[in-house]
Amino acid sequence: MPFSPPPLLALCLFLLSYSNFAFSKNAIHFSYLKEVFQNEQLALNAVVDFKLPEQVLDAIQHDIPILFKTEIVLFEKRDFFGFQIEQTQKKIEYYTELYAYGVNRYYVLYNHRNHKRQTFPTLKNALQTLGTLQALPVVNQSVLDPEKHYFFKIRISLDKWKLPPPLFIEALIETYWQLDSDWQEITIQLPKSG
Amino acid sequence: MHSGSWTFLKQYGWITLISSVLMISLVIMSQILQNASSFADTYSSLLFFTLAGIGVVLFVLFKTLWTLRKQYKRKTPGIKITLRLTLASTLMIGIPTAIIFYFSLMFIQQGINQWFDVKTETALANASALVRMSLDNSTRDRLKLTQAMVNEKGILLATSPVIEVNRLRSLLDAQEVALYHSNQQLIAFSSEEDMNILPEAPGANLFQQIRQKKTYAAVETRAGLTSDDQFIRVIIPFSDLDFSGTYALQVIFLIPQSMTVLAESVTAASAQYKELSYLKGPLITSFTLILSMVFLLTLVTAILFTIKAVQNFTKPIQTLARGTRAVSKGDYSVKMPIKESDEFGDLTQSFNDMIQRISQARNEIKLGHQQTEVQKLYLQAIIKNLTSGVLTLDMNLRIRTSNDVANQIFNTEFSNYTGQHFDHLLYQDKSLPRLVEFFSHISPLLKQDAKSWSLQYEFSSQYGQKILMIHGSTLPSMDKKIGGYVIVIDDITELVQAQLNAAWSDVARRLAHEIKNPLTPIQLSAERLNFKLDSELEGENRALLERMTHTIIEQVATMKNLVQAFSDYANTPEVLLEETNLNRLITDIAVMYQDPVAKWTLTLDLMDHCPMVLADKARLRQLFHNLIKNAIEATENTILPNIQIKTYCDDQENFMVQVSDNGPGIAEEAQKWIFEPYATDKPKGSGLGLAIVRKIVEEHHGHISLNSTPDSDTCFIIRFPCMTPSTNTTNTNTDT
Repeated sequence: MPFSPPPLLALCLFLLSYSNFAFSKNAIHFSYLKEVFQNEQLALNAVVDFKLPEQVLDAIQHDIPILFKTEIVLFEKRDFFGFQIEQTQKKIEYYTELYAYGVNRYYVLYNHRNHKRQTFPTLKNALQTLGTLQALPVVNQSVLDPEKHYFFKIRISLDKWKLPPPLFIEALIETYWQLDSDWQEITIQLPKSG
Repeated sequence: MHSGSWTFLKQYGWITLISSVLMISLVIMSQILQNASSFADTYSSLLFFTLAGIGVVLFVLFKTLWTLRKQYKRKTPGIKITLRLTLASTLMIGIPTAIIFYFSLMFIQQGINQWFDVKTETALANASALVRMSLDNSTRDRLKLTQAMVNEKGILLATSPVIEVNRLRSLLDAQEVALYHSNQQLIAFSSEEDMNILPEAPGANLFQQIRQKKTYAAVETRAGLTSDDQFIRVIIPFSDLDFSGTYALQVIFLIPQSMTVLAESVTAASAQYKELSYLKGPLITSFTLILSMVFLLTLVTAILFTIKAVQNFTKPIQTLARGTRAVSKGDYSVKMPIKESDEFGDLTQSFNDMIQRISQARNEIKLGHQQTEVQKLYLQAIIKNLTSGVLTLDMNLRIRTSNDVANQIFNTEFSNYTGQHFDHLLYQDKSLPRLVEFFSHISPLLKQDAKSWSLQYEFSSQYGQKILMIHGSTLPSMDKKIGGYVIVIDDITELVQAQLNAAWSDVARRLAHEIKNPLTPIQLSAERLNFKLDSELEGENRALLERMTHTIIEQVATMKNLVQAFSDYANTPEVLLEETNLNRLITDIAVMYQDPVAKWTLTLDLMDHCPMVLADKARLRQLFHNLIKNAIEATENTILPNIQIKTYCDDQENFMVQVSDNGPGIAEEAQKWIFEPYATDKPKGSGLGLAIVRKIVEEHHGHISLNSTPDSDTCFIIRFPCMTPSTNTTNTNTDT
């Protein structure tokens, strides 16, 4: 008989885990992050390494869809009466769904932002593609003031709220479902005009 | 809305609402867990909402239990039965619910475990493998066929691509044929569908593969109009003749719909089975959690319902207890509200009626008591203001009441002896010898069953003899506690004295009138007789005549004096009261008697700061002369006669003069008539001296008493009222 914790114990564990915000370290790691200016656009190049825990890989192999949330925020630094304040200039947020499909066990990446679906023969390929952001356009260069300072923040995390309902309690309790790259920050070097 | 329904909603509505909402939430959660993926996004919200709701219900339960605990400590009426019934109901509901919960848990775990078995899993794996093998074979065949065509038509494709792609599409029975340069540039394409839509180019990774001269063949999926379409993508790299360029031929073979549907069903079944297989543990946990919440919610709701129901049940008891407590504290105005129309309502109504009747009866008794009190006060006022003394005794001869006049007559505060037995008083308190004598005298009269009786009694008080008229009567009553005796005492001393005085004055007047008139002729006749016969007689006869006439004249003179005394006693002159210093008056009089040659001595013991007294000096001079002469006469046979006059104040109201001598004293019997006219045991004297003394004292509103025993000193004590600021200091004529 599988172990099923009493409800109150589960509730306590849930509260405990929720208060701890424990994460699986280095499961999602940015190995490269750089801004580029291309076609009058400020774009982003990034390489993210995914080292998913066994339990998550097992879930994917068992046709459990996993949603990764990518958040990119462009800030403008301002000096306000001697205080440094950060003002959000642009915010991009999109979900990418990873799941196994078909008898041939293809791995599909489905981008909820542009509704583009890509199929991969291996999970490694799928994760490589998921972790490769190549010239991702963020904002038109014309809206940026060369005299001002800007910086990016980017974060990729597993959205546990979108997991199948039965997994919800486990996702709240277990740390291997707490996958988060945490915020990564880079300062933008605007090209000199003229 | 009907009041009963409203009451039900008011009392149970909120808990019904919360429980219902939470139950619905739990049902939805359960449905979501059972693959209702359309509501999957709401699962987390529902879970938190339900947990919060159960938390609220638990809080309400703890609050209710805490309230019950406080009520138990305060000993609120009905709390014990509330707790007992709540505990019993909780056990009755909780035990079966717990059993059901346990077995449901078992069934859930076993049921979920039974979803999965090896045969199904193997069958689904085999089916998937079969589909995969079939598609792999098909893909391999398409790759071989396309490879063969490229080998055969490769040069033509490079030289006339537009014509050849069309031809190839027909030959291969493909859905789409497209020729790309290795630099991802589309050269030509042919499609059986709309030619205006460019074909979907291979991904960059595939072009990378092409540049490496690697073929590609795989089953892929794309979104179709109604469902995903599966197709086989084959990419063959080749070069032209001079190897100046590398090309890639992409051929898209559409997998037949029938095969796609079959493959999809196998894929879906396999995927669902895998998913469920993976979610087996979490599902059991989730269902356990939901079932636990259902159990908890059911139990808590049932307990809350039970407590509320029991409280409603015991509310009439609390109401009655509250009413009883109010009544026990003396509040009979309480009227308990009747909210139920059942037997409890009837009971409350009966209680209200009972209290109303008790209150009514109590008010009547109170009114009667008040009336009795008023009557009692009225009677007491009457008795208090009576000029007669009133004493009441109960049937056991215990003193019940007395008025001020009785206290004054007997000079005793009877209220100090209230409730004491009559005989008790006689034997216990020896300080009241005269009172004891009085009670001993009337006691036989009380003990006989005479209805009423009267008696004249002479009472010796501190201030002299009093003549009392006593009327006794038995109070008629059926109850011994209420009945008793009433004794009415009238001090008739003054009345009797006045009557005596009047009688004696009348006698004196008659005597004076009847005796005084013939005395002068007798005296004249005796003198004439002596004058006429004196010359005619000689010798012994002459001496006899002279002696006889002398005796007659002397006796007539004595009788004249006596008559004059009677006349003086009978004719009372008006007294002229004036402010008088008695010490000075006494001193003036005493000087006249302080003769060093005399046998007696007169000593004065006068108080300092003598208060002033309203008095007629002339009358008081006569009073003190009489007393001093009386004392001198009384001490004639005493060896060293001594007369003492002493003054003092017994209180702020009375000035006392005490005239005493060391004579032989006065016999006890003589003390009763000593102040009466003609009451004298002396061979000489009119017997009016002390009578006049008493008369003068009474004219001054004073009182004279005698304190003497035989063979001891004699002491006359005179009490004069002192002057007070309210006393008229001017000369006043007073009634005599």
